Amino acid sequence: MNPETLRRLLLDRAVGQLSDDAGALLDAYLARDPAARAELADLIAAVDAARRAVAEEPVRVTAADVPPFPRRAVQAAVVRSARPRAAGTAGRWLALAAGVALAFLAGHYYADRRGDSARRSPDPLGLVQGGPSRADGPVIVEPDDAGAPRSRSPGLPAGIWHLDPSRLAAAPLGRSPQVEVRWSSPLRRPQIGEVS
Amino acid sequence: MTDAMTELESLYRLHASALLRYLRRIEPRPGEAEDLLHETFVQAAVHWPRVCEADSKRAWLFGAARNIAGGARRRLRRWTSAPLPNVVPERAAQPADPRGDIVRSELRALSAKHREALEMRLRDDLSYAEIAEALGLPLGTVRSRIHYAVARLGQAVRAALSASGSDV
Repeated sequence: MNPETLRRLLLDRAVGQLSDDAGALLDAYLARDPAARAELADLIAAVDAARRAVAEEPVRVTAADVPPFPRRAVQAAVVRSARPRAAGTAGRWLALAAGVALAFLAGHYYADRRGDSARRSPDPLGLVQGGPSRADGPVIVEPDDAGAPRSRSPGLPAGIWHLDPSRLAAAPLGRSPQVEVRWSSPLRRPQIGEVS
Repeated sequence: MTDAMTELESLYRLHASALLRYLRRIEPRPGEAEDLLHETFVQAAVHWPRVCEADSKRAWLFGAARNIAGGARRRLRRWTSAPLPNVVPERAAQPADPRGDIVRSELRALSAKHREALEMRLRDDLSYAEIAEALGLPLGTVRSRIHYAVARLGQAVRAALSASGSDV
């Protein structure tokens, strides 16, 4: 037998961790090798002494030392461990809903900004043929059913295309009455062009 | 849930003593080991599916106890400047067997990782596989640590006895 293998088997036997098969093999070998037997005896003696030494250390526990089972805390932990899975599922849905809401608000804000910049450009409101005068107050421009631009008077809720009277007053209206706004869809930017 | 509670209670009855002894060894401050023992079972309840998946529930509990005690010691070191108690207490009484003396001093001379593995085998009677699970180490590492420790004890005993010329 390889000396290294023999050594491993002896050490495993000394600490009581040798399998039955390997034990039988070792016993057969030891029957023919007195030196190995002596080495095993030394190792077993050392392990026994070590076992006694660790048992003698002042770490003794009697049945009376063991506190009662922490039933309430363990029960609460069992309940708690079941809860996070449900909370996790709800949390994922909540995060998804929050994401959708955030995307909607961001889109709304972006659309608002674009509308605002469109208002700062040569004012489309005043260019709409037949549109309201600047003194009429806030005006909303939106496409009608046919997709043509149509203006609405104040009193209606202000939206993306809301303009207040003061800004209207400052806007250079009527400079180019031959121009019209073409707005085919609320998802597209209004196009300004000459009246065809 | 009731099954988990019943089984945890049964595990407590079976292993609380050994775990408390182990915890007192690594955390000798009075009352602390008992708290750590309870915390070990609370953690077992929290991670019950993992306990069930473990090859040995006892080994899982030892591993959890060790980690919880380690965390407690780290927290203590962080928040207090008081010296920590000696992890391996000195033995009070002197033995009659000279081999016991040699082995005891050799045990103290072992590194913490070798001594820990050997003590889990000899004192807590954990198998190599259970020690590996408790310590989170490969089985081969545990085997080689225990082999090293035992070989060193055997050498020390042989050397001391041959030097003294006695045949114990």
